[in-house]
Amino acid sequence: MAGIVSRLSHRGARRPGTTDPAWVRWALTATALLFLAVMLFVPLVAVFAEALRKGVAAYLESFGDPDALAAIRLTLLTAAIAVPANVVFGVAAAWAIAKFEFRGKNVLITLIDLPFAVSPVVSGLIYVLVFGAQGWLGPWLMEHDITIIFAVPGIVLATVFVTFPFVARELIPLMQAQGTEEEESAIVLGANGWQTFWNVTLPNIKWGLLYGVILCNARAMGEFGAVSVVSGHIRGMTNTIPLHVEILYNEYQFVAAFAVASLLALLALLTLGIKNIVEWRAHTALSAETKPESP
Amino acid sequence: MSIEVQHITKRFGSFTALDDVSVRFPSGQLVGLLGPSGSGKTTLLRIIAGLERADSGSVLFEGEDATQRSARDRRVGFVFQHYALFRHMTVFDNVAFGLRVKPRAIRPSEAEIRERVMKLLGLVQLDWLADRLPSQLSGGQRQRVALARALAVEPKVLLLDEPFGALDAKVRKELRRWLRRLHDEIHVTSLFVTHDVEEALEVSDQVVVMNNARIEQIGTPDEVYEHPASPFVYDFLGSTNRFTAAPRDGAVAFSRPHDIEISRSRDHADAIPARVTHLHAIGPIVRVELSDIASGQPIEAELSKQRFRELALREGETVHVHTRNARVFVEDYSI
Repeated sequence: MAGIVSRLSHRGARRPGTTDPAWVRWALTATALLFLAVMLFVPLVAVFAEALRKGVAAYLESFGDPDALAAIRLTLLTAAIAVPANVVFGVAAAWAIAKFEFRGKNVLITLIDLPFAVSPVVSGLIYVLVFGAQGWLGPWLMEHDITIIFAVPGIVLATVFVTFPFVARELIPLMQAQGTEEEESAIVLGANGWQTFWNVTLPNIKWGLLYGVILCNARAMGEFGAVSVVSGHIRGMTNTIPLHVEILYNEYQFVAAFAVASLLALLALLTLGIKNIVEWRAHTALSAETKPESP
Repeated sequence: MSIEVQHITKRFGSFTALDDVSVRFPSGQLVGLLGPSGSGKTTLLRIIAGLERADSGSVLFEGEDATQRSARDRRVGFVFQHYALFRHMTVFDNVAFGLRVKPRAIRPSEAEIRERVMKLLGLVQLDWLADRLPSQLSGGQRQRVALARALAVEPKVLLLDEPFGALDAKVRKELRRWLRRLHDEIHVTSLFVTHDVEEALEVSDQVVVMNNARIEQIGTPDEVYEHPASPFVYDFLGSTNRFTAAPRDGAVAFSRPHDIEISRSRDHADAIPARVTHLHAIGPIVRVELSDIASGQPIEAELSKQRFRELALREGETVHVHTRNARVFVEDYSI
């Protein structure tokens, strides 16, 4: 992940076009566009085409199914827990890494990246191994009548794990670039830690934070692999939207499957839209800050 | 308020930033901490502010031990080299910050805050920019806002870390004179860090010269310039000619370029022959580079334009030079 800072810096530096002949430029552009069309645009259109094949009525009917509604509810619930949890964790981790020097800092940074590095299936299996009936904590959990695997807590845990890095990764480079002088100023002026965070740090990172939240949310709602391992696929109970789509598809209910899938596609489009607005706002905020000084 | 530091030592890993430093800053003065980069002056300032913790030693405010007091409770004003203004707040809100974060019981009312902030902005001559964001100001204006913000909480001490370091030469000069006048008006004990000799000598009541984590000399600008306590201070404060050919072993003589006298005839007992190697005649002062014929050692001299015309020097000529004022240090020291 490149981080909002580096992405924005590319925007600022617009170089004049290359001196390559026109046909080279056209060929490269055409190749890229063709690839995008085949790999991204056509599938996206196909989702909606399939969903609406039997008309709008059939499309809407798919959402009347109690299992579909349960899946939507569970997905929203999972995201509603995972995103705030990772916002708190991400801000705390980024704050610690960017503003303080301590031993084991590199270990922490590596750990934050871990969920990106391992396959989501492995992420799910980790939880089964720890909390499952045959897992390390299985007997103890059984004794105390706590179920985590094949239940909602397991799904939330797996989602939190998979979406762990988004907020922290977005904020670390931003906070490192901003340094600690503003916070030091605030403290010398008599502000306490909370006032400093709320009045100085948070306003400075708000666009980066929002960006991280959007990506985190998109992943929390769309995660399949890790959730699939811990879910148990109990209809109406432990199916999220992606899992529900798979079940419908395997049962040849194509219209219903694509109708529910279109929700995720819409979420993706919405995410991209908001992401662009946030990038644009962050860009104007950043360029206002770095505008050349006038005497 | 007077400040005193006693036996302060601070290390960053294997690097020693301050080595058993003790110094007392009397109340109401403007003191310049002068030294090359890495000499420990900024670290000393940050330890006084409470932004850095010393490994050992203590900090006293008005004779009272403040070593354990947090930066929040020390009531100092701190001005950073790169201003450190709150970038998302207007100039007004920046200056008002210190007043607004006070506990409710002692916080002034919004009306009082407004009055205080506008008065301070008037003091730094920026009241017309109250609604701007820091990004819309020039460097010099930003630094004045930073100063107003630091003064808003009525600090007992004002600490400035290279306050003019990020500004261009002309603004720098204006702003340091302005700081001097401001200090004469408000008389708060002020310490400022600089590596600029001219700046330190022009503005300060007292100069503390630092080198290699230690204090080399403390004195008025006149004292440190005219009577440098060590070869380092002599060398750091201006261009230097160094003569090893000295009367005693281990002794080194120093002389400033403007104390070198050039004549065409050998009319002084100590004069030595030297060859003119370069002439730089720009501005009112002419810089002459010479080479001692006996040892080949370079010598630098400065003449007034008038004296230069009288002598009618040319490159490659041989002349006689002697120094009007040399200082001899008997120390094992090399520059």
